[in-house]
Amino acid sequence: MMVKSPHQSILGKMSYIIFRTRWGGSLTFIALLTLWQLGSMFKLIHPVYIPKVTEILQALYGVIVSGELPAHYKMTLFRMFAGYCISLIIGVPCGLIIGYNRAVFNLTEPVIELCRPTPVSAIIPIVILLLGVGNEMKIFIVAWASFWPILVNVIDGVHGVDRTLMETARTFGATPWELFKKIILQAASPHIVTGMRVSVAISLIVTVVAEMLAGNNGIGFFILDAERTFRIPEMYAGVFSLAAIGYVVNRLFVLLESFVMAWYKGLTSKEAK
Amino acid sequence: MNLLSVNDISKEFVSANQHTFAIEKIGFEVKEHEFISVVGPSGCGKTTLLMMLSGLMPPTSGEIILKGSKVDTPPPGLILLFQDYSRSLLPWRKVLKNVCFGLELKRQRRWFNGQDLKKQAEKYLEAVGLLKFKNHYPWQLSGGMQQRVAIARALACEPTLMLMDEPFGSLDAQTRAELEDFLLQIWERFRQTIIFVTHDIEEGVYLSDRVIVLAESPSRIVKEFQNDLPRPRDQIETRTDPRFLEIRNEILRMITHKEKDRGVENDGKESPSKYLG
Repeated sequence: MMVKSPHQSILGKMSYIIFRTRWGGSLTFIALLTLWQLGSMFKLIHPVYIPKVTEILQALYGVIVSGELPAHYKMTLFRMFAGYCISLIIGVPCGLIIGYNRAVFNLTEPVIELCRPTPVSAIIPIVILLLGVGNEMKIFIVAWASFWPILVNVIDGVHGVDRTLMETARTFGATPWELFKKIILQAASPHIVTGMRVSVAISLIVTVVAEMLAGNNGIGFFILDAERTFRIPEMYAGVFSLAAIGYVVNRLFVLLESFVMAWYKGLTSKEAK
Repeated sequence: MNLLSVNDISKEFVSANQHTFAIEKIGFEVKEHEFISVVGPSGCGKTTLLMMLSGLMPPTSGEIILKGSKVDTPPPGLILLFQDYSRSLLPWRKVLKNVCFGLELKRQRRWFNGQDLKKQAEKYLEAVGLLKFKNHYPWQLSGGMQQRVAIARALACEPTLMLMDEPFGSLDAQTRAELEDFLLQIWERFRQTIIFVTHDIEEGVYLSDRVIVLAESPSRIVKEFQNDLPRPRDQIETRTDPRFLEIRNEILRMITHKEKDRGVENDGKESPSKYLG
């Protein structure tokens, strides 16, 4: 083990690794999978509806090698990425403008507060009516759902910029553009990244839902189709793959955050002391 | 020639159902290279006064003339230093980049060449003795050091007039005394004009050539003191100089006397000690 342990006995070392390092979490994960595996093997849980973990992993391997799963993922990730990017391209500038300008904020705030809490599932029929059941509909829904968290976080970020900071910049003679570029955008960046992270999770969820509702490809369709054709292990394989994708995307964002906002982490951890 | 003329400025805040005079007809002149202290009780409108002088807030009436032109937006050559250094430094920039901030702006085009800009920033960071911390974030430094970074950032723009809003108000006594002397050294060296606002009468007297005493609600000038204490000032010698005590006592007496006059508004709950920092 690479982990430095202050304990000398083997038992001490093990308990250190389990309770004091991040390896402990992986152990919980493995333990749960083992329970699942044993439960299914000894028919404590329904072995057909809840197949063995090993069976699911075999199925997962199978659909990856056959190219079935990658083909579906190509569509899913394309829709997710397209919708997400659209929401960023529109959401970030809109949020900055609405946050910066009181008048625009007053004009748009009621509309935002109405649209934002409306469940995205409720508007899907409208979108199908207007855009059909193809990619346009799915991308639109993804963009719509991930737009609001980004918008609201960016607005909050801009509103949260310290007055003293703004006044300082103004006494140095900063023009409105310089204020915006050098102060607001920077100071709001932690909120912007938070919005991006919330939205990326939402965009994955919504893509899968939209694919389940209509169409004949994408991971959402794959999972639903596997269930309908009674390919139960494949259905679980789809879910497992989504868990992995979700985990990876989140990790990427954590990396991005620690990279872009080292200053913010340091500052907030200092303030917390 | 006068660097700054403040001609009877007033500030009135209007809310839904009332008008409040925060400042009533304040007028004074400032000569070049002068060090002026403005003292008065907390909440007497000192910050409002500085906001107006720096062009961040327009006066309701009267006008401010800096180097012959009227101040209505933040004018070049003037920097306002806030008390709250931790909120006026940019937390996402390291110390050196913070000092660069003012120089990067359009207004300071003469420094636009990146190399010169950095040299200028380093020069002033060295002047405040923090060059070796240039790659730290401001929040990694102590309060006194952060305020020195803020001072370096202001100095780097080579202002003719520096306004300081209780800059040492949130520091401990030791650091405060150090920074007072440090500020005097800086002032002797770079010869800017400084208007230093404080609620600490002794600090005001210790630093300045002239003390302007304000009274509260609405804020107005009670008296100006010409402060002829010898320079260089020394924390022990100056502060025990009979003349220093004389000025301090007179200001203190005047403010507390004022308070007694207004017995209805202030029924003696506040003791004079609050003006001693």
